[in-house]
Amino acid sequence: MIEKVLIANRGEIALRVIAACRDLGIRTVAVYSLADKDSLHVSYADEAICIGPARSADSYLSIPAIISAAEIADVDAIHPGYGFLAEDAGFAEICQTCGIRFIGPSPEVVRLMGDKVQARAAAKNAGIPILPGAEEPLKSVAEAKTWAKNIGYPVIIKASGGGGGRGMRIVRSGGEIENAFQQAQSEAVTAFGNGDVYLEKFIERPRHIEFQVLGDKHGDVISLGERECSIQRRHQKLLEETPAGSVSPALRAEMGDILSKALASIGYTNAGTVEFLMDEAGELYFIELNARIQVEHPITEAVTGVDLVKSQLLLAAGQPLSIVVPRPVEIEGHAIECRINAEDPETFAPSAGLITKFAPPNGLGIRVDSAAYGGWRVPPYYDSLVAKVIAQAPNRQLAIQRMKRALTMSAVEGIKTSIPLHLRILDSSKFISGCYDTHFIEDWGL
Amino acid sequence: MSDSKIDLDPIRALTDLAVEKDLRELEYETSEQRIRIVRQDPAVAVAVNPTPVAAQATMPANPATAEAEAAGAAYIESPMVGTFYAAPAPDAPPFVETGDRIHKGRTVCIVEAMKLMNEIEAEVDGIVAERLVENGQGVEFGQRLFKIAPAQ
Repeated sequence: MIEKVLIANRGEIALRVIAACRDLGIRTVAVYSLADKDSLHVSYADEAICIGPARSADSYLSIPAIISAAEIADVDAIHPGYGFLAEDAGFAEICQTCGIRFIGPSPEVVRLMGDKVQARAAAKNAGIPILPGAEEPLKSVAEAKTWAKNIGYPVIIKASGGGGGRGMRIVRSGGEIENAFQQAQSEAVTAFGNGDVYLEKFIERPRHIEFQVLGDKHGDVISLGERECSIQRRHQKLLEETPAGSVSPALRAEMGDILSKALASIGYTNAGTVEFLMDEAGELYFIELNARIQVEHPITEAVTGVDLVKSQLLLAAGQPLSIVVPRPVEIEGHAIECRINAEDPETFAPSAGLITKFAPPNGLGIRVDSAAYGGWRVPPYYDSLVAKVIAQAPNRQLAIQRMKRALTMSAVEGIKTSIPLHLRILDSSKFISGCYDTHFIEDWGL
Repeated sequence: MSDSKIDLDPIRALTDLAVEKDLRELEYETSEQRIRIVRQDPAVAVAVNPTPVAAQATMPANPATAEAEAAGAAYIESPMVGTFYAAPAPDAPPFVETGDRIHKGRTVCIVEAMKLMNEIEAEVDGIVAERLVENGQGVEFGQRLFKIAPAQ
């Protein structure tokens, strides 16, 4: 069993992990940078250790500092949260070497999923549908041209080591491919230090659909349904909901079968999210697997009743999935999450600074995951997430209504937040219809 | 602000402000630096001496460095999280003892992080006034390890 966990993260996810540990009677150790000394995770954990200055590279991303803190605090496991070191295979490996459990998949699986080309090939071999395209990094423009011709335009060129939209180029005709190839390659070198690029079919108006999975150390993997995450701006999710209107119960069951078999064959353990693009015809194609807990995990918790972070801890301790999550898991009602960011709702410019008043929403069907409080200064060094508001209701219409109620019966003052943008989304007829894709925000000219 | 040159303008401005508004304590922070002014009656004591400010330039977010004592005492702080050792080996004498006169660059202790023994050097000249942590104790980033009194 796990008795003491170090949380190698900050903000709301650190609090989420502390909460799960408390529910299980596990002791917690927070780590923090000097910029976070007044943070709630520091006061709520059983112990807290300052690991470095504000700069992430010297604190939350510093493997020696975190391992060293884990050693002096004598913990038996580390929860990496999301971001920072969550998907760093080297970190997972060092934890293992030091005899500390890494709460996540094995280092080998984390490494495999970190390389997009390898992850894609592994997914394909395991029977997960992927977009038609090159499976190996492209060696030349000529090779890219041949692939594009066989698949048919449009195609997209992507960085193998990438993410977040960098190193990506859409090519709509043969004339554009040479420039696009070179630009993607040089962007990939700059952003990821690796110039490998690959190519696949491009979907003009895709939906972003992802499936939550949990796996144990005995080869058992379950899918806990999907999340619809198409409301994005520059590949950053703003609002997520589950279930997705575009996923029928039959498709959900089919994908559940495919994923549990495929991920068991890959040796996947702990929590993960398999991201797909859905084309206009409703076909799903694998994009990547996020080998960690996801920001938007609470909406899955809301409709399944499964505590995902608690499950992570129990699965890491070696418990069988059949005990951690008794089946069948039913999906009941509807849940929506809005990510409230400290940013200008129109320009999206980050808005760090002192929160003078913080009155989060509450009431029936509302959950708020946040590390903010009145008098807290949002530091300029980290991400801009201030709160996650989750609305849950028996149906989608009521969930939308509850979310609007929550966002209008709350107050965050002193900084700008994305709340006006969320209200605009919730009020739009396109969102209400449920028929939207990843171009939703872009179509508004934002 | 460069490493070699101290910008006294903001310190002067803040000191003036502290006097004008009769403030006991004033803290000013940017992404680059943090300045804390502490007033002691009756006169205003600027709680920022030149050495810590210079260190501040290279270690922007470390408030402890700026909180130098009015008396001129300095502190040697741990540059990393780890385990503190006063001596190079369990049976060896400690690197420094209370009362020792030390110079900048002198090894004062070891902080072990991930099996690596990091020798910590003094950043100031002075006399070891006090060791603030126990041998074998876990220390945080920025934790005070030694109090150093100014050399006469």
